[in-house]
Amino acid sequence: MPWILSGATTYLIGSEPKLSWRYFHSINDLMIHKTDVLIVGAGIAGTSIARELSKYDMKVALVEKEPDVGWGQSKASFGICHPGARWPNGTLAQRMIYESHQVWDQIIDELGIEFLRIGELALAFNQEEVQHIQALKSQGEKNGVQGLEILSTQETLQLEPYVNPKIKAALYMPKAGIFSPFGLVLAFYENAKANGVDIYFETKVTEICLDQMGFIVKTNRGDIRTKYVVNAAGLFSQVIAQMIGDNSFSISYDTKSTCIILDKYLGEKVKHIITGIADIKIYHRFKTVMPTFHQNLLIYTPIPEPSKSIEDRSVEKRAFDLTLQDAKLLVPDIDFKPHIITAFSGITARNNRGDFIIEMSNNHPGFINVALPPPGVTCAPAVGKKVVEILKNAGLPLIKKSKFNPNRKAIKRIIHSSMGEIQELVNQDNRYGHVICRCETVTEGEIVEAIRRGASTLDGVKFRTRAGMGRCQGGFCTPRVVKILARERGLSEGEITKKGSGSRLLLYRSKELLEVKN
Amino acid sequence: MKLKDIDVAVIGAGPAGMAAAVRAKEEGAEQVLILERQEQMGGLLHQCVHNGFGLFYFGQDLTGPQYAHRFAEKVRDLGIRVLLRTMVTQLSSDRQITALSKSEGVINVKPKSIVLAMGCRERSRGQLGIPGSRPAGIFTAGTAQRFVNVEGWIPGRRIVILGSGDIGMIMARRLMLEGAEVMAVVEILPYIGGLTRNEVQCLHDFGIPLFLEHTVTEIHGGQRLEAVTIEKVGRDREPMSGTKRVIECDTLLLSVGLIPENELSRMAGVVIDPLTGGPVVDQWRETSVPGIFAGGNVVHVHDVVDEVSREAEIAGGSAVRFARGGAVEEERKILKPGRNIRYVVPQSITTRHDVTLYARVREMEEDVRLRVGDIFSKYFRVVKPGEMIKIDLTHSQLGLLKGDFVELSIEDIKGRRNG
Repeated sequence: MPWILSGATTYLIGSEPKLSWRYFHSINDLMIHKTDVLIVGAGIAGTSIARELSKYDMKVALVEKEPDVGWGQSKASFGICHPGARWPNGTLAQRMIYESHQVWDQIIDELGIEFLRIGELALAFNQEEVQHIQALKSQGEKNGVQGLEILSTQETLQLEPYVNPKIKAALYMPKAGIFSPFGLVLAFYENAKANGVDIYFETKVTEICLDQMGFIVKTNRGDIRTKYVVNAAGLFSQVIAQMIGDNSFSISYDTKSTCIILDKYLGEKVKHIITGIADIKIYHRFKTVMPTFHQNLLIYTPIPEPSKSIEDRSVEKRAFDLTLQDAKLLVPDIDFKPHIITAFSGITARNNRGDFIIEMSNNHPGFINVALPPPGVTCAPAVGKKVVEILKNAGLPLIKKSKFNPNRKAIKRIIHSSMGEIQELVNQDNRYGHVICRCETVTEGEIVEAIRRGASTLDGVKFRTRAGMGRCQGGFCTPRVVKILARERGLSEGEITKKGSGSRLLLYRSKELLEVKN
Repeated sequence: MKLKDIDVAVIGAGPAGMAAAVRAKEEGAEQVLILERQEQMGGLLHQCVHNGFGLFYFGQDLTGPQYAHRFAEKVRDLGIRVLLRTMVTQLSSDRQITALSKSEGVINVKPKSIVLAMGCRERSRGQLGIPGSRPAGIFTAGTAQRFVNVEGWIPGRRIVILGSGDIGMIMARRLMLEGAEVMAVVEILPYIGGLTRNEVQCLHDFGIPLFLEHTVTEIHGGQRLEAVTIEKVGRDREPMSGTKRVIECDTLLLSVGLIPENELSRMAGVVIDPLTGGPVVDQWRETSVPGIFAGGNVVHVHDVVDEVSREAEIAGGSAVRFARGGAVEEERKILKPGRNIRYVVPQSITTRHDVTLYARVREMEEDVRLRVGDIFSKYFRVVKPGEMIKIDLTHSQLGLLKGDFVELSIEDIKGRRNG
């Protein structure tokens, strides 16, 4: 029987495609067997480390168990770029924030990162809370955060008319900003890939063995020999560390937080990140009402809610109701409920040391643990640099690549383009004139480009282009995106998944069930 | 591309848009333009392959595509210009339209009048806030309908349907016919949300279990849906303890309501009625912005397409008169929903012309009398939110109205039918 090799898939003619459906990336079934540095985990930490390493002449590989980048904690991040007042002076987290702020502007520019510096207002409702924000201000100043200012109720309301007028004062942090969190991971990933980093999806590390040259990392898709391992596996970093017998830290996954996304119609009403104090003793636990980069409104309240397992991302009704209730306290005059688009939960990987962990394992030189509790997103650039420094100290030769290209361009978004730019785009490729997702104005051109850049699933397209993220939640565009994915990837629509293996959207062809029955 | 000298521009070529454009042309508008985002006219009718369309408008039992075809032919025969794959992205209060088209790129039009006919969308899972995981296999009923009837794909074989809207019930039958098993239709209210004829023809005739006063309280499954938990609800519509049952299924369809699509209307500054979700309109279907009219499901969600066409015809006719400069300010009376009335459309009327009012009740009620001010009353054995009430009033009746406001209300007359 002849085998057909059609770009993305390999299948037997005449066989049911769904029986042998495979992934885009799996065709290379680990053709590399050797690398200098292997990074485990393609979240914000792994991708920013990969990009930093891609500046040097060496072989770097990145393995990810999911079919796409950023599908762990990064996906559920709010994308706040913290100015750095909330973390105590001298902690590694605080240093990483400070160092990252020295380079963010440059990196945002190089990588075409979606970012808005909108500022934060931390509200205080009583005398105790006023003291809290005053202390926060002093700590921020000690940390080198600029522009901090305590505002009166009146001044706050002038900046942000929807804030609860019952506040006593607010701390204004003008340097706070918002990223599109998924866009951020993509930016690092795409630039790392363009500079030669090999990336393998749906590749799960199962065992790590020692070898004279370094490590043999066993995965579900074959073995990889590497001199160095960077463990950036997020929630799973403890599991990976234990593979070499390193028990120096533990990760708890008992903080699940729920966040609700509201219609863009409300996003226009709030201009700043508005936060309220959730715990008078802890600076970095706060309730939030904020616009997202894409102008939705996001509300969140920290509810210490034990997750059932490390994979548990279910939304609990109690968390949902409390989040709405707390948001109402911060901005009482916004009617949230009729404008809810969706809600999701994420797990925060907190470690037992209460600070960032970025260090060489004591068990084996050449094995680096990276465990970032929040604010991982804010610290991405400094984390990458820190890991490179540790690798250098461990003997990895660093020779700058002459051909390193620091620049990456984001997918051109119609919704953010001027009429002139749109006309030019459509003249070059008329698919940019064909709107597929009506709620977010996403065109066929953008979707095809996202697939070209590696989106292999419905969620992959959604996170890259926002098709399906709007108010109808994919009601209209899902069938169309599935069709484009199938066409571009040379698959049948029945092989398209929501989020990788086991999540096919369409299980049977029309009349197929009747044939089975007869 | 800039289009000039357009008298009436219609946004949307679904049943409402086609009817509005045809009426505008028939009433003498020279240049009528339809802007449609899809690749063909007809809107969602294409995926409605079942029958039951046109009973009122054509006096015939048609399928959705047949119904659409009749109007599409009229549009063609009358020489109405249709731009397909053209999505309006901006609309201003001075009637400036900006659209994006696959063939032309950016299109600018400033017509003399506009008819909004964007229709409605389905409420999604996120809006309901159903707790649980987020696996594949959860679709709105309309999305599933497109997959089954247009794309030729069946989402799964063990189906639970939340909500008893018409599309949900029709999809229950459709999937049974495809060999899938519909495990349950779950409705939070004590009665169905759609039309009685669909309850009988789609659920009862196919032996599909209907769980009234139940709702889905949790979604299970990692990658693909594995099961849902349903629970009985009390009078407050909150789940009652001890009533949990888990139904194994691979697909959950949602048929939990439709929302008029008014993002463009808002952009143009059109005042939206929070009760209908659509623009506040007068009896000519003019919105709060002069020269912008609206008809069909963008105004309020109708039960049957025949009424969508009729309402859009009013808007199309009025748009022509406006384009000719024929708008006359008249004294208006505001209609107000009273006891057990969720909304009334139009929201204001003149008293010099006959008018048809459309109203929906909040709750099901038996043995009631509907009253319009003190000029009209009618007995109903039962009123249900799922069945729109239509009230024809003549100008001679309306002439008796006093004051600026008219209240519609449902009066409970149990035991005193003639009272």
